[in-house]
Amino acid sequence: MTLQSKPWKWALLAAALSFATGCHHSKPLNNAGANPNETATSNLPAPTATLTADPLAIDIGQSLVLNWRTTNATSVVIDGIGPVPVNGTQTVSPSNSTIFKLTAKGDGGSTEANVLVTVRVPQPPSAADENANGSEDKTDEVTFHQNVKDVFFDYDSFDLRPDAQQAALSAARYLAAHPAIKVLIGGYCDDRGSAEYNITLGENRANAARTALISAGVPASRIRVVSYGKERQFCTEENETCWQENRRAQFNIDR
Amino acid sequence: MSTYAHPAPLQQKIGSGFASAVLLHVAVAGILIGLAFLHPFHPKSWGEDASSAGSIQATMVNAIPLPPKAPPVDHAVLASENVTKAPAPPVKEKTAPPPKPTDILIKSKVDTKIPKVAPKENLAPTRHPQPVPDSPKATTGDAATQLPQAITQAVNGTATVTVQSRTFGNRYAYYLRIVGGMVTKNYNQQHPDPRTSQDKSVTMLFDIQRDGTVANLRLQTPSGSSSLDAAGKRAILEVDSFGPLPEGDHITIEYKFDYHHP
Amino acid sequence: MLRSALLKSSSKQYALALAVLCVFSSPFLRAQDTFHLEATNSTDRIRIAVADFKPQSADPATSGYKHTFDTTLFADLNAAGIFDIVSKGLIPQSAPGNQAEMNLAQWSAPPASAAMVAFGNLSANNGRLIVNGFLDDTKNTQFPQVFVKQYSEEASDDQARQIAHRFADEIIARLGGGGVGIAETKIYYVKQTGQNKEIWEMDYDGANQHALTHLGTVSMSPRISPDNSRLAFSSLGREGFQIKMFSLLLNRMITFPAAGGTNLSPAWAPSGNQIAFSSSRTGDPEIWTADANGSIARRITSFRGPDVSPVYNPKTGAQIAWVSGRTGQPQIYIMDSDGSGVTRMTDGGYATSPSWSPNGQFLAFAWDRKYGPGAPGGQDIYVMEIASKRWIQLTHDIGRCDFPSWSPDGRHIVFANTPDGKDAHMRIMTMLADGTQKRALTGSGGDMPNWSWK
Repeated sequence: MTLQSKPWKWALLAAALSFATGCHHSKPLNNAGANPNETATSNLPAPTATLTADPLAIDIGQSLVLNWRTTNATSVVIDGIGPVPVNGTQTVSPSNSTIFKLTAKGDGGSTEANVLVTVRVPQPPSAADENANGSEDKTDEVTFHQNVKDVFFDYDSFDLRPDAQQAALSAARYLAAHPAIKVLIGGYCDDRGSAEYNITLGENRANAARTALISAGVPASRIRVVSYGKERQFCTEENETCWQENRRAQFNIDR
Repeated sequence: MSTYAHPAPLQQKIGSGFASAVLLHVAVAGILIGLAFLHPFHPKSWGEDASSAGSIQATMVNAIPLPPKAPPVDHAVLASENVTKAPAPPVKEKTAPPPKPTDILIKSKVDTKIPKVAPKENLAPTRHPQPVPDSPKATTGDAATQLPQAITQAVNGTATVTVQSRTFGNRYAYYLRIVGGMVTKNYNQQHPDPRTSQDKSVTMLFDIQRDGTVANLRLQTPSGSSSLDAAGKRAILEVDSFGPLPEGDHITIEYKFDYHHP
Repeated sequence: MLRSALLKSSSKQYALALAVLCVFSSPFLRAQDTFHLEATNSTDRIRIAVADFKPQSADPATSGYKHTFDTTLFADLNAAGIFDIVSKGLIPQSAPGNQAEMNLAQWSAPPASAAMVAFGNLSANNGRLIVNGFLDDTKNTQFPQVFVKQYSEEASDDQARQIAHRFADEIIARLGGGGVGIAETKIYYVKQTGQNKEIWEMDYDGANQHALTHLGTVSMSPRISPDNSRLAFSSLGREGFQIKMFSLLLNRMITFPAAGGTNLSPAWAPSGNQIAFSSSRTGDPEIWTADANGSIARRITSFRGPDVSPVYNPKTGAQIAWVSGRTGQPQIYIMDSDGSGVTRMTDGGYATSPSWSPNGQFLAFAWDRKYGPGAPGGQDIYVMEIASKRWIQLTHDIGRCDFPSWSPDGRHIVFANTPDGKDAHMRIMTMLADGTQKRALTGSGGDMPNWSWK
């Protein structure tokens, strides 16, 4: 009985599998480019169009570039801009999220392409950016930052000022009292100067803070250093107060 | 007992104060003057170095203006004003000397030249009607207008570039113009001594290899002015490459420069 | 009376002392001995005319391709910097399609007065784009043709551009005195996309801008390898900035060993076998070299202070220029590739981002000669001759400039510029190496350009 039923079972399984694969469609690619609606006529090639925007998401006040390519089209119109050349780019600065629609008409028909552009309200950088996810215990963070103050530096310098020495010492004391906490030191620079040099300057600042902690007794294994240079800013005004805000080594709980 | 010292009368104090101030100023001035005499300070202004001034200053302006082909300074064999002896021409090439301005070119001379100079080009020297370039040197009686030439005006004279292959010069006249243009452009950066070079001519001879680089540079006819000879050599050596030859393994170029300071 | 007399004499002495002081201190004051640039006058350049190519087929697509081809060819030859190009308004109306149709006298006569003419025909048939390009010497009535070349590619606007680039490069190769054409070269750069920065690529003239990386973080300092196969750059991860490698042949990231500390600003040696970069794996950011796979890493500087942005001498590969903050503000230095022979090049200010010219003789870099609190100056692109340390300033009053990069023909420099000083408005500009013909290649959001080697 079993010998006879086995081939049946296999056949059934095979049939079921082939039906399953038959029903399985690959999802259409959801890029921000073309969604062509082609209405082809007889023998003439239908026009095609792609419309891209970069970046796809901007902050208010920034601009982005629309980039479109069409083939077999004689007239191309973009809503909100008007008639445009068959291939080209255009810089736009929308004030809210919009969908840009391009219509390309040719002898072979017409087609459309859309792209959705998002306009964001800028968020201030949060000090816990570099941590993996946001579901930290907030009390720990708050207490930590109350007791462990960031260390600030002079312009183009990574030497610890007297006030910075004090801050480092009190940080070391706090860390000694809480031996389970590991600390991540972030190095930052103000937004003047060159991007590459600032990353190394930020590195030196963070290392200076690290050295101060180590010489105050914190074991090196509890300290990690990352430099951001001027790639992350705490404030964006162009004045000395803000620049000083940015010239820092920041202490964070390393998770 | 009074704890206050009695100050000297005001007038006297000021007088002595001024005197000591004056003395101090004189002393400081004196020290400075003395220092200047004892330790004269001669800062090395950039470009002052005589040994390298020639080639560097010459190339400085040439370097960025386009197209730039500034030479590597290390190769500036002529960095000093003493012109090194031109290397002896290679033995296999026994070229006849170029016609002097006063010579009248004899046809036979021209014919014998070609097979010797370009043995690899097996082209029969057929008699093409030679295009006669308008030569501003007609006054000197230069009758070598039969040979393919490119003539360029330099800031302080005239340059004549002749290729010792008539067929090459006819077919690729544009290449000669490029050669003339590049060498003359370099030449414009040179500053031969006008007093010794006035109305003198120097003729250089060199090969251009397949990749466009210069080889076998030699002084064909010295001008009598060492600075003009040096300038001519330098102008040619400063060229990295003329661009690949459109045809052939090498060509021989005669570059003649007449110096006329306006 | 005595007092006033004393005063007069003392002030006289004082004036004398002051005068003496000034006279004898003048040797101490050294004015910058800048060198002058002579712009290349038109007589030094070859006067070339570019004819509109003749359309050879009735296919409606041909006119579009022809227009792209004509404008690209004209722009390429114009940008080369060695031609005095005849403007379109001065050329004869005819569009000769081949040698038989070419009337040299028309082109050599005024108003064109051209020494060279580029012309030919173009057709699009059955999805193939075929172009025949000619270059004639108008002065040589006997043998006018310098060369003729045929190009055949798949018909597309992009190929029309690429064919024009190749034809232009061929013309430059023949007429440019050994110079290499740049019409087919690429520029790699950083594109700001919201909070992130990705690495993008574009043609040397700003066309065909597209993304290469999609890492979703801050990536910067792209440097293409000499053989155009790999792109090295640095990218911000959990452990800080690390050097990453992208393969242009495979079109994806390839592995490159991570190391401790911050690792950034990679640079290729001209052999393509070595890279130099800045690494703080020993605590202080220093310059290291390694082979192209990231192994056999060796440290070559050891001074306190940040060391970053190395660049090899592309002609010899035997020297490295880099930025060091060992004396305070960053300055440019040069050393041999093994770390010996350290020479300081800049004498003050804030100097960064060196780029070494292809002939090995010049450094281009960003310099703010009056930098610091209370004396804010402008950051501009400078070029310095290495042998003499003379320099010239190429940009003036166009806003903050940074990250210059030489073209392989040594005649162009691409750089980043922000007209109002804000990083968000950074864009990429190109210019001739004497500072003329500046124009923007990208809109806002482009930074840190790197010109390919070929």
